[in-house]
Amino acid sequence: MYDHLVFIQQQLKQRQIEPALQQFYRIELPVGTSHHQFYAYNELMFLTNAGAIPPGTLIHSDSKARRIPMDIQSLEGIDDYSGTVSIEFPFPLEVETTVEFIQIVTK
Amino acid sequence: MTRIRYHIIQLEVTDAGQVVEIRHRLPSNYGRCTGYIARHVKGISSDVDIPEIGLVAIEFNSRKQLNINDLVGYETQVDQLPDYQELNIPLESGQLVTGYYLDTQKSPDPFDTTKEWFRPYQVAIYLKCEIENKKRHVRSSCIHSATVEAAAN
Repeated sequence: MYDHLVFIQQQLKQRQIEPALQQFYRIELPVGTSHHQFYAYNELMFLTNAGAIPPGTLIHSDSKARRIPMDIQSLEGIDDYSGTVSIEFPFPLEVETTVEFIQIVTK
Repeated sequence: MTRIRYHIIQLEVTDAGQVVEIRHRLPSNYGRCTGYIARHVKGISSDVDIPEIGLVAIEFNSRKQLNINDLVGYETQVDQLPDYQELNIPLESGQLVTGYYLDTQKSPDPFDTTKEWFRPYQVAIYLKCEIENKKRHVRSSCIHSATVEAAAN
């Protein structure tokens, strides 16, 4: 199993980013949500539970955009988003969904 | 002496709402990036200008610097190339240029969910870069003839 925390630490080192804080950041989205937007300036948000998000969902930010693929359950990679982050679901949510990130606040 | 080089990154957009990943390596002798243009080059045909067909984001030096967030539009008539948007990014040798292009076109008919209106198209990102010539390059044939001459003497 790929160690996400090791991956994040390596990414920060390679990109010469010094973290001021690392913590979990969870967004609880109620039934019927089709779009959610939040701000993550001077932060990196690593999405940790892409498998819980409906395939076809578009997550885009200033630095990265990703559409959740059908085979997300078989994938190991995690992406980071920063700036204005938007989550657009392909249809309004039918169940309450929590989107979880590892939030890195940069110095 | 500084020389200018233009580098083109071509992107193919084949689906509505597609995210096209940019992962590109610039030649290692490029020292600085000083400008860019992101524009539609082929595929879309419309009688009117479309101010936004997509979004582009580009990071330089292997994700160390996010420098470009811009809209890409469509123009019916292009008389001349637009001016380069200014950048001033020192490039680290051999590092990646990364980012994405996101198609944001909307259907002309808001009730049409089939996406049959969509036609594949191409977007190009033009980067204007500088090469600094610090050393004078000597052709190997010159070195060879000089060596032979020195040996003969």
